[in-house]
Amino acid sequence: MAQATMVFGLNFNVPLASLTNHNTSAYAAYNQANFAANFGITTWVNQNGTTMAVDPTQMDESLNPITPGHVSKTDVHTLIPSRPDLRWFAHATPWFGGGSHISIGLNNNTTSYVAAMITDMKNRGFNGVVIDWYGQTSGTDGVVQKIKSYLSGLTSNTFTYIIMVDKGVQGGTSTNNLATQIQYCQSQYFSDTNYEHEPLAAGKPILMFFGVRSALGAPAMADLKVETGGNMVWVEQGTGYLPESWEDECFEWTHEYDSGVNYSDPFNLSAVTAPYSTIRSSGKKAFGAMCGNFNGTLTKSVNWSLGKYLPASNGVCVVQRAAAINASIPANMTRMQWTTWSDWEEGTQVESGIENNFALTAQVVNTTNLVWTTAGDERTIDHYELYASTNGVSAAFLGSVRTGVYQTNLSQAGWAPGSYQLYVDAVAKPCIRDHISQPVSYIVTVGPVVLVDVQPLSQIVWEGDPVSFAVGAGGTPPFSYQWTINGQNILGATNSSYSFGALAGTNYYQVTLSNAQGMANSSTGAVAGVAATFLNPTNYHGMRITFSGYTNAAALLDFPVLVRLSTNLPGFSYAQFASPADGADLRFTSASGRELPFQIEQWNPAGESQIWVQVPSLTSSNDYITALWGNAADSAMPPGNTNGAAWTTLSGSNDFLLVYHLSQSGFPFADSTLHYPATWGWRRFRPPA
Amino acid sequence: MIGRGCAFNGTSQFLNGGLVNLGKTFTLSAWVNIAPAAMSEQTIWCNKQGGWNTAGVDFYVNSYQTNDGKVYFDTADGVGGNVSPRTAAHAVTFGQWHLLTGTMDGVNSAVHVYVDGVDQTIATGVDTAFQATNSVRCGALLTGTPGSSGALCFNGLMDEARIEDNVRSSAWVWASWATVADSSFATYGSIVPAIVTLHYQVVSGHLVLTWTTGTAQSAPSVAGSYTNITGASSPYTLGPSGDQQYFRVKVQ
Repeated sequence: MAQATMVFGLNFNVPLASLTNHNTSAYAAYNQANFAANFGITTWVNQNGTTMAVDPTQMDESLNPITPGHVSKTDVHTLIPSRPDLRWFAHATPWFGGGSHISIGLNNNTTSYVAAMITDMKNRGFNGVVIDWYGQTSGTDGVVQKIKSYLSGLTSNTFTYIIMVDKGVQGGTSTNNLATQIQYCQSQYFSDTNYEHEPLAAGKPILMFFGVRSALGAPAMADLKVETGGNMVWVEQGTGYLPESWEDECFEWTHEYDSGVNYSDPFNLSAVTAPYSTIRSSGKKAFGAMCGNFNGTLTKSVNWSLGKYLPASNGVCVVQRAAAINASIPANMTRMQWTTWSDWEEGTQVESGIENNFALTAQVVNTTNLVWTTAGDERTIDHYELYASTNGVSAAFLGSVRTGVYQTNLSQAGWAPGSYQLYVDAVAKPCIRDHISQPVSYIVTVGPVVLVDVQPLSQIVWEGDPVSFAVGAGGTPPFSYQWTINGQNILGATNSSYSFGALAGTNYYQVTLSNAQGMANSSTGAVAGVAATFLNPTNYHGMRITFSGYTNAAALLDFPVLVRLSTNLPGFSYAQFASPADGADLRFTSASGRELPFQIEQWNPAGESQIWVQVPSLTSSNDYITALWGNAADSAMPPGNTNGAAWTTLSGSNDFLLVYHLSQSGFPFADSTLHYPATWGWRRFRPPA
Repeated sequence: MIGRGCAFNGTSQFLNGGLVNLGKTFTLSAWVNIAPAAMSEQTIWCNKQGGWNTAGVDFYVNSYQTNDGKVYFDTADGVGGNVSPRTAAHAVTFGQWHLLTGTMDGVNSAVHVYVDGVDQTIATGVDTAFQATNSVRCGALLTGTPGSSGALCFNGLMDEARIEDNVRSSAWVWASWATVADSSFATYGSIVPAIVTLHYQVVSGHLVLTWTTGTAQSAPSVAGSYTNITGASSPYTLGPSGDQQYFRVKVQ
């Protein structure tokens, strides 16, 4: 019998096959014994064209972008929460399918493969792809052409691509050949709006090199750049070439162990972060590197990677490396590259997902509680998702639960009488594999009559900022309400709306409605609280600025107000500042005490200074911010003054595209959003008289 | 004017913002003070060539070859000519500062033109197939050789020119004007001084003073008289021996 799409708030719109066809959690290991269809290749063709024997128990060819399987689609940006601005790139090595490389049973020179690969990358949050490129007549260029063509057909596309010229480029690394190859890239790709530029819009195209500098030498690199016009951003591996004039940025690579693992630092974290001080002091931008594993033993007869190794450790390598990078990433490291997307020969592929061997066992306890136990390292798990199905075909998403919580009250959901199968899905950290429990039987004999018609909305806010949820109810009153956080009741939260200050991190909110006939559960609203800085006002001179002139009922969010400071304000003196010359100790806070982003347009200790401050919310004439200054212990100019933060919102929507304060007396005129500086016009300007 | 602002000569000066995707919903604005003698179209924001049948967006003051002070917000797909929502004549007074704002909802064909935060749109309509991605200039058309009359360059002063990626509400537009031009928009409260604490500790026989703000002073007796300690900044270390001294911090 067909199942209704929506039953008492349960929306059976998730194909169960998309969750269970890759169910590995019922087994101790994802291996050939348990998943024979995914293994079994006994020979590969190696780099020299020689057929070689391989271990059929070690090779998994079941997962690729054509059949994406159960790889986590958690956004890669969540790995480094201190830097949501990072642009993430997957490093693709598209040389499979030919006769000279390992066959993994797919041909990625097809249009359909490229479309699937890009889609998979986008679904994981990647901003773009770096292609390891071997020249204009190579198969890799065919892939780049297909990427270019595919992206051009998308509407509102923001996904980009970058060419990385490999030292193995066809024709060799002579200056003449490289000039020809680069000129080809210029003609084919660099003016493409979907090619990555620095800065993003109206900037220079980024061209990366892999080992080319070491083959060519510094003088020849400089000559090559001049010969090819120079209007590019050139990026080579490592920090060693940063002092050389031709290099504009650098990138980091896998940092695997060459010979044996140091088990006091199994993930080689010290090597990952060691270059950061050099990058920081260089002043040049850089690509960081994420790498979850490296297995040189897969290429037994290929000498370049023989012995190289980085243990995946069931996904813990990704987690640990992300934590190390998050703790010490330089501000001028603006992009990340995941090495690699598809280098199966070196065992660094992430398109298949990194196996964490996580497992769950679920059961219903006391007829109302779904509880589960886990096996494996929970650090590799992002959160749990709960599903129900009645027909084994489609499932309803019941809600999310954060890690560390292993139960939920089933009576909160809007069940219709019937027989259900329940599932708990462990959604992994980015590019690690998800695992789902075996189904658990659940029989409901009494149904609700209450319907939720307004749902909580997920949102990203600053820690401490006000958040409000509200629901509506249909059916026979009176109704009662109980709000929960991460499945736990919130004391006193028993009204139709619930307002609170956002907590740091991601938390999941729901409300259960009930009346005499039954109960229903709302959808889950995830509130991601971004960590904020809160200032102690007693350490500063302070002045409240109240927007008493704003009497409109419409709420303005993240609104830039102009603050004017001068000695016309009673009691104000520039001498009160720790840095009176530039106002570097000036701060602003919201009513909750959170430090606010601002930009000083003009600082004039002899007169009036003008500052743009991003006010989180203007809703009435009582709203205010507080200006603070004079704390010698907090007197460094905040980065928000120059990094565009005052003109950017957390969600990335409702933003400023371009802001010219026109404070300069000549070109370039700065764009405070950093997107579109005006680098030219017809003539130089003069300031007004 | 906020800070400096820029003067445009009306014949050859403009800013090139490079390739910008405006999308279908956006807001353009700038503070302008148009020269009293300015004639013809005073281009503020534009991503199109001149002419009635070129694709793009154009936000400007004055009808062609006149000085009627109308504010226009043209859209065009390059096929059927411009669609020209606008204000009535003399919405802008030359020689005075005005905040001009245009909001474009190319999805729902809704456009508004504001002068000093007030909606003054009298004719509406959008060519929803307008060209959204192109080079954007502030102060001139993309037409021909700058310096020629065809570029319709802006003549006057301009400040705080912005492009926003969404359709701002009337409340937002009004507040954007008020925060600059209405002195009653913000009320500045009294200044609360920092709570200053002077800490001391003895490190290797030296007295080390630390404080958060103000000027350190010393005196031979508790009653004074106190004088500034020359060159002292926190933390300040005194020698291991000396006459009895009393210390305080003076905050203005």
